[in-house]
Amino acid sequence: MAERESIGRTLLVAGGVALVCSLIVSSTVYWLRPIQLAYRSLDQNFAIIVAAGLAAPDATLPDSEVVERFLRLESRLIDLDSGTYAEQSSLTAQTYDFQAAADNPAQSREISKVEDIAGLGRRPDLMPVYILRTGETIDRVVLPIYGRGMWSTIYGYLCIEGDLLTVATVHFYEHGETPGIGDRIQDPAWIARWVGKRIYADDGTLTLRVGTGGVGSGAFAPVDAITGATVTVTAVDKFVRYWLGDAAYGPFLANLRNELN
Amino acid sequence: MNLSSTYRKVFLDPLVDNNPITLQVLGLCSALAVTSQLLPAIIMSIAVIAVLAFANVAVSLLRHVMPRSIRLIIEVTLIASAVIVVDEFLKAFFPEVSTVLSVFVGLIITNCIVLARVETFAMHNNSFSSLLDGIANGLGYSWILLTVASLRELFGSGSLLGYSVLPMAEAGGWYEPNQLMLLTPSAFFIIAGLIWLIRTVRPAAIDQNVVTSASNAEPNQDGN
Repeated sequence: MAERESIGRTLLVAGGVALVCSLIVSSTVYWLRPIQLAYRSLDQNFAIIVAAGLAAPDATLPDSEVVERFLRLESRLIDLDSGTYAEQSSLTAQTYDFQAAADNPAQSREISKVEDIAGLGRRPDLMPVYILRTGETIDRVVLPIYGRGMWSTIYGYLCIEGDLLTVATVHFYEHGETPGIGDRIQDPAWIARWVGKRIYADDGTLTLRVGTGGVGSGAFAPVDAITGATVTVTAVDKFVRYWLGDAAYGPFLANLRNELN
Repeated sequence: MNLSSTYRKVFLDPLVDNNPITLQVLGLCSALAVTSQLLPAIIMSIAVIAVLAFANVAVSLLRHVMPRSIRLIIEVTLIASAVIVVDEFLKAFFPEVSTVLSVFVGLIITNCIVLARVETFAMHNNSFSSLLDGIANGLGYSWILLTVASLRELFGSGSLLGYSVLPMAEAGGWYEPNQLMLLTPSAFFIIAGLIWLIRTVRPAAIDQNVVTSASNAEPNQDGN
């Protein structure tokens, strides 16, 4: 049995097992990825209609119904810097992937240190937005938001009322926060605390705050924190403020408000 | 003891007399965490059976090749690979259930039942009896899991597999649900009740097993 315990044999067996196992794992992931992505895109549409108030978060809808309700929304692509619509023939909100764009130097820009309160590093030049209208009136606007939480990147949609000043609701659809603690950002009871919070004061300053200490002053509209999930909630506060600020959706929302008046 | 009765013993023992949860009291973490509803528990059971069967067979096939010094690393690598494959399958075909199970599928890697079977059984037995042992221990784990989940969903939510069985008071029925059943401690109480029940019904088998489990549960057919 001496040979079985030799260094050469040990390396050979370890290498062989590692090679076979990695082949099995990577080929499984390779074959299953398209199916997972198809589900993911449907899941995205579902997250958007939930944020827009067209479905309950726990509703189980057939796939066709999800698509049908999603199509009631007007999907637009906007340029964040100018706040104007930016569709091109080859590029629409349906085909645009903002997660991929954020990593692509040609489609994103570095955020300056002063503006980067959420530590995002880069952000895409363009973002999709989803507008629910009745006739010409805007009912709701759904904005994708994301940022680093405690362990993971948190993805969500913030839905704004037709006045473009108050929160209609928020929906975090993807995160890897601590189960039972940080994942309570998906708790309906906590989400309910966002509803009706004032985002901008009349002079346009950002008044929405999420859960940080000492924000009880009358000038702000704070959403209560989640006990035990300080890091996650603070991160949400920072990236929500970043995305609603002048460096991101601010110009677009200002343009839309001008359209209203 | 002839061959087929040995196999029968390998298969039947883990179901009740040497059940991994009620007798060896292993794998409790997931038994507590995923049993508030029946469907996730069913999927979890299938996942554990698949991982146990694969890991047992793979380790059994490699048992003469593996150097002792790195055997634990190799065992865990094989188990982890099986778990990742299962997790990816769930994400592709049962995305909702996969979200509910979240980290607990990944935690099958550290489920004591899997490493215990691989270390104590598959390392010393041929691949066929290792396969039987893996499936049987998985089934032993599963029926406890499903019993706990059925009781918790029935009395906690008045339903089974999402279908209403006891009409809930808040939906106009007569059943006032037991909130405790939705909380993790209820799984402890139910498992404790099952252990009590099994030990009361089969005292002789249990006592004998506790003393001689090492020699009884691990037949060496191949003289290894």
